[in-house]
Amino acid sequence: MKNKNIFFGLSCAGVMLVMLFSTSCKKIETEPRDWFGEDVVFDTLDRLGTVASFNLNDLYNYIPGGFTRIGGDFLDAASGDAIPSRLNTLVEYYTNRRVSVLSNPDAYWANSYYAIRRANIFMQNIGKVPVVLTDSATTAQARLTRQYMRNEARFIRAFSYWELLKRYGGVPLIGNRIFTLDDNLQIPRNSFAECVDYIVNECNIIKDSLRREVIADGDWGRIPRGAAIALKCRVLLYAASPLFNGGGFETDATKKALTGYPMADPSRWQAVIAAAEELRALTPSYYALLSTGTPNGFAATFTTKKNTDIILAKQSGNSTNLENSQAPIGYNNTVTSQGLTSPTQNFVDAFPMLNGQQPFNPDGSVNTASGYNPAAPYFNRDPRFAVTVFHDSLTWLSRRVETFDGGLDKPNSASTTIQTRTGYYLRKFLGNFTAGTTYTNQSHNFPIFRFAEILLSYAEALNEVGRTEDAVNQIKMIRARAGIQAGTNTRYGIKVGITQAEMRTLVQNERRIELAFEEHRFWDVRRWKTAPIELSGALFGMRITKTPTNGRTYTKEQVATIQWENKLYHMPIPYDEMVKNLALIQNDGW
Amino acid sequence: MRIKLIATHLVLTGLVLASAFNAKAQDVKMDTALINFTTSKTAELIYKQVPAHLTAASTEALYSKEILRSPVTSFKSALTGRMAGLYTIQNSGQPGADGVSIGLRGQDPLVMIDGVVANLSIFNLEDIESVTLQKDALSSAMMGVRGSNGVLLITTKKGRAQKQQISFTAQTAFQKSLGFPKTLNAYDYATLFNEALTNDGLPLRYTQADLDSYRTGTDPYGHPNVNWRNEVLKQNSRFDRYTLNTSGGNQFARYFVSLEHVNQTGFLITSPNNKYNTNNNFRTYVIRTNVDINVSKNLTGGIYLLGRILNATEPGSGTGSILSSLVNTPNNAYPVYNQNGSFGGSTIFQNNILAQAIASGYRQNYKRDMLANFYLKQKLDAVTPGLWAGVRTALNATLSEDINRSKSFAVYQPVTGGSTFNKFGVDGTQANGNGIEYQGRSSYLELSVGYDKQLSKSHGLHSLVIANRDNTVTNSLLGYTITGISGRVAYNYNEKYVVEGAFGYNGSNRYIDNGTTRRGFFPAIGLGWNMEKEHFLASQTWITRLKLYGSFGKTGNDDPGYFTYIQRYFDAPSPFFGTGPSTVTAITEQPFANPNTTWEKANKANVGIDAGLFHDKLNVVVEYFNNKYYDLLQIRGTSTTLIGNDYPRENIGSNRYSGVETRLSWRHKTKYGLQYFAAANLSLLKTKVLYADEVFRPFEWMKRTGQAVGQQFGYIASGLFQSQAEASNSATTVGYNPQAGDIKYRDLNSDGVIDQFDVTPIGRAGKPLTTFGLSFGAEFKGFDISALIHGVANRDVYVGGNSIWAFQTLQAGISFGQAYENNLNRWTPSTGASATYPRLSVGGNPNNQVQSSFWLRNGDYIRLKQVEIGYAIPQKLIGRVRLQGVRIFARGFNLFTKASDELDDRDPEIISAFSYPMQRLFNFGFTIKL
Repeated sequence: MKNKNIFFGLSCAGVMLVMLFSTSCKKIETEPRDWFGEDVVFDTLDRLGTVASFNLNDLYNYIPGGFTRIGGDFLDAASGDAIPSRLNTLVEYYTNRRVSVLSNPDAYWANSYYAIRRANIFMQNIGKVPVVLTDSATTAQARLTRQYMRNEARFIRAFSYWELLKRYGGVPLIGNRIFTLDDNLQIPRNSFAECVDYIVNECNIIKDSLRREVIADGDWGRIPRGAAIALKCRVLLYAASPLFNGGGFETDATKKALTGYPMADPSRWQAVIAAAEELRALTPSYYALLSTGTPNGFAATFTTKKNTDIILAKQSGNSTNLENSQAPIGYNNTVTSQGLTSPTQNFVDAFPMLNGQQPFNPDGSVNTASGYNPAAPYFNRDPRFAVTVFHDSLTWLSRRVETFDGGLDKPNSASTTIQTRTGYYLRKFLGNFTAGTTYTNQSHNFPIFRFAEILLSYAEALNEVGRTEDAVNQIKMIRARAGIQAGTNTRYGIKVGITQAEMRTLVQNERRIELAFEEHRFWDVRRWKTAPIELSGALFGMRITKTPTNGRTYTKEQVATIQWENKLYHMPIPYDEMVKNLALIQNDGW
Repeated sequence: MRIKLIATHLVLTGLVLASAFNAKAQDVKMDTALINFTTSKTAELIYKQVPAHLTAASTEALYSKEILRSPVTSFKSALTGRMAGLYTIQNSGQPGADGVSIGLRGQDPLVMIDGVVANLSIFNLEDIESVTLQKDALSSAMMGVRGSNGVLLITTKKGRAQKQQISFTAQTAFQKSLGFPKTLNAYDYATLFNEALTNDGLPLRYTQADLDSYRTGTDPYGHPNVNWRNEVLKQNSRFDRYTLNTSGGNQFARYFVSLEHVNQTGFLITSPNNKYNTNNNFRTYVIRTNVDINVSKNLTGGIYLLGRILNATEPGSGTGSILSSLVNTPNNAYPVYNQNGSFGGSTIFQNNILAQAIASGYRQNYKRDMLANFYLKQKLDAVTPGLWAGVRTALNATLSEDINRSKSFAVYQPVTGGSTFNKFGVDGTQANGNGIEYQGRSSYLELSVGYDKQLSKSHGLHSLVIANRDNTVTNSLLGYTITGISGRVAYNYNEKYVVEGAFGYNGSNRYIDNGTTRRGFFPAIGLGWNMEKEHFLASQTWITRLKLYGSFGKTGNDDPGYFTYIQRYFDAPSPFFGTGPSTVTAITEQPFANPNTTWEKANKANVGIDAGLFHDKLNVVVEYFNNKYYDLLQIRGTSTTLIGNDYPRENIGSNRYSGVETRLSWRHKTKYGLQYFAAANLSLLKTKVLYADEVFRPFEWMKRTGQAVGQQFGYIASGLFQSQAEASNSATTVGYNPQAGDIKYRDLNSDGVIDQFDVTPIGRAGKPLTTFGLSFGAEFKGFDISALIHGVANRDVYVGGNSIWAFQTLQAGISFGQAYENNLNRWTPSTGASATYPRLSVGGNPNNQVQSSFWLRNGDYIRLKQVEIGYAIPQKLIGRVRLQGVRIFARGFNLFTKASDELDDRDPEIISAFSYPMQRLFNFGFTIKL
């Protein structure tokens, strides 16, 4: 009996021991086989390149979309063109001196290097993937597909450097390197000049290897040939501009070379002209201003997904997001309309009259020749005005907007938390909802590059090299599309014999209104070095009072004060990066 | 498999019970004393019970009687203040989620039940025989790669060979919330709001007429003044507990069976209109059966089975959401009901807190757990005397199911000057969904061989070798399996000198390549000296016990993550393409893999003295420990984003935890029958960051290395600016124009700006965290009384956020958050000197709300944790009705707390009003034994 028990115990133990350490008899999953590794992403047998294309798709996430990007506000709410309707918003950091090495609402430093790494990984590995269709007749097409893929990635890499360049000046260029944990990452910044050369060179290399216009409907949103040229054109435009073209405010030569060319060279404008002309000369000819649409061609440019003005736009799903966040608050009771942006009177005053003439003289007095009537300030203005800004009495959702004191869209009541601070709301990019009582999903793609921008850059460069009348011709195209009257002399309100300096002002103004809220103004006033004037001092709104006879009186009043410091010409490199990479040199003033 | 096991078990239990009733069991006198009057002669180690004087390991045990004194559901909450080196903090008072988080010498210990890792804290407290902390390297060595955090070992009650005993306890408690911040009434709120707006240079929000309406309360619909806590919360809630257990046995078999039911009601208002309960109730049903059988003279076996169902209900909106609404909704936000009886609401607050409580449907959560633990032990004296072998298997199954029967509701706001209403939200239909929150299982297998022998008169040997395998599967993840062997050998000479060694050699299947199991070797050694057995102390009869002991060893902490050595690609947000448009799949490189990850390690030293004096009346234990943790998984300091990806955790960091623990107790039985005791424990814990791969710090005071682990850093506040002139002439935070009443900070590097270079340790940096507990009790002629006081010193807490600051929550674009009585003491020109709160502002304030010593408050407290009085009805009265004992008792829990005034009216443990408040309980009950 006793021995039997011992035997039982021992045999039990034996069985258990086998169970304990033997896993070999049963096949089990020892690593998660559902995971994708690099070998699956860049599968050498994936003849369609399906998984590799997923990886490419991710790179598009790194192109920033500009709608309500800075804590729910447009970057342009820090450009003097608008102020946020809410108080204590992040975007105000740029105008109230709150930006610091620790708090920059739009650093985009890490994002950019994350994009660059991912582009490099893609480019290094896509060659392994045999993107060849089985049908030999389409082999050429397959080869093209892989070529497009590689160059889309390369464009996004160049574009990421551009995002860094406009903010910080020169940054570390890392080429094709894909760093590992063991690499030395104490990498100094490259100079501004080196970064410009790098981006321009990259654009030149890839431009002919990208999709040619017309882009197929299904590929809309992918990088086309024109985008590479447009990026080059914009980088060169910035490089030729006063701030970067020898006009840096830094006294330290090293820092100055990091954020701009040390010496001025007016001939840099020629490169801008060449790039703009290159885009215009593309064959077959494709890009053109969209001149028809509802309510007009200009407005339709932003709600029509695919049109010839758009070179590259950040694609998004159709929605009512912008209507919900931007439309006047009085509609909030029936359909979410939060009115988060309040365009300023300063911006409104920049719009010319229908005849193309400015309503105000440079000294601020009313330009009577323009036909501007201070008692009816919104009458007979540039047609872009009413589709960019909601002003009082504009029709929206079957009723008139009321931004007079006590009106439905500016009730001034204790139960209203957000309302316009200026008497205006932002309308640009919104669908055409003048009728009806609700919103339907709209196309809201944020334009990255537009043909109109190329024309404006072209005009700016032409004027700078003394070809003022050539510049006038470009502006005329913009204004014609905008719906401004040509006038008897078909100069669209541009005066005969305009001087270079006058034309400079006019081009800058045209750029302000044409490209408003597209994240240009914020950077343009910096590169023109007009920021110390444009970004300091008073911002105005319009106080509108309803008279007993349903008339209106208009009083311009100050609604905000913004502040400028020269260090704001360039953004501060994040503190975290400075202490982790001691080879970096901080921008001046930070 | 599991069902079969349970069925077998039930049959077995039945047989045992039957035999127990029939057996001529020994009649053992019941132990009714409420005070332990014997020092335990044995110590529970992880896999073995050993004579206490024959081990050098550091353990501390708490027994059933103390554990049962706390009216709590989680056994962890019952440990507060009772054990040295154990720091507990309660983060919530919510029924079913009121467990404390515990730190054993600064680490979160591994929980084991009857020798098997099982992280379970809510079950029948009456099941627990003892809770034993395994504090040092020697005691936790056999856990190997799981030993670094120490072990909290639960030993459940087992049946004994004695006559059947039945015990039934019924108790009920009334609970009341503590430490809710006192909110401002509508008039004060509006007045302060206007003041804040003025300070910020903004137009006033409330007119004098508004203020008057709030003050007089003449317009309850247009100018409401609602104390939402009174509207939504009950004054009291209930906690009922019923436990029934029976135990007994004979030479052949022994059993312990228990049943428990807890019914805790929540603190929310309910409505009779609902046919279902919407309160945040919590119910448990727990059953345990422990059966041990002598199969033969040499073979014993047993099955320990635990099953539990935990059922929590709450309103459809969720208790947490209601709590946050209470923080974020001022008293003047909207009326509870409109004049027409509909729920009030407003454009800004499109919500109604009462509706959240009673009109949002309900949710339920069911947790079901099953733990089975089975063992066989064979004596192998036939092979060689003292040899034995055993096997143990355990299975755990866990599941948590969520049932969603919530619904949405509409709220209404009258249109100004009209009889119509704006409607916000919709009265939705009730949802009907369920889902598995998580489910998992684990299996455990252990083989052990032991050899316990008194080799000769003076040489004693205890040894044990174990091989085990512990596999845990959670949801669909691949199983985490730890396998290895471990052992312990203890030798004593005349029971005077003890040499003890233990080791663990084990590891998990989470390592490169292909899920390889990597094992580490973790040895520990200890020495003990029972000095009272030395002849030079033999004459000192007042010394009952005097042991010097110490240990040193290396422990591990396996935390490899889920296959973090694999460089993975995974889904990224899907971008849109095409004029359609349509989304496309995107995948992207995931954070860096670290193929070199290994377990974290610690070198631990412990020395102590354990003395029993005056016939064990006075017991003293003093221990010192010094633990160095290294190879801690951290993200490296130079993690520049130039690399373009997230850094992995690497084995970088090193911290030191050291401290002293003292336990003192006195107990005495007078000849008149009075028994009394007093026990105290005091623990000091000091921590230090030895290495943390810091980034470049230009100034010495910014360095984290050398400071305490988790040290708070911030600006040093030096009061409030008393004048605009002072504000204008001082260094201030970047881009901020300070006003009188703003917080003034010290400019450490004297550069005229308060920025990242002025950040330094704040609070009582470097002071050891001190915890203490003091318990005492007495018993006389059937009456008994006991109490527990516990406290913490050198504890700093950071306050702030919506439940401290005024006007924080952003509602529809403007900060309309609640304000509190502590905001009344804000800075104003007239109250400048005595202000404890900066000048008011609306929303975030970039100067006053940055991390600084201003908001770091003294978190020390002392709490009368519990008091109990009981009365055991004399035997002569109850003997006639064949009862063995009847005791009635009353208890108070969290009766009184003394905390720093700096915390205003908040509870020191649960400071945030977003958390379910601390509960004070008055508890009554009786126990019947037969």
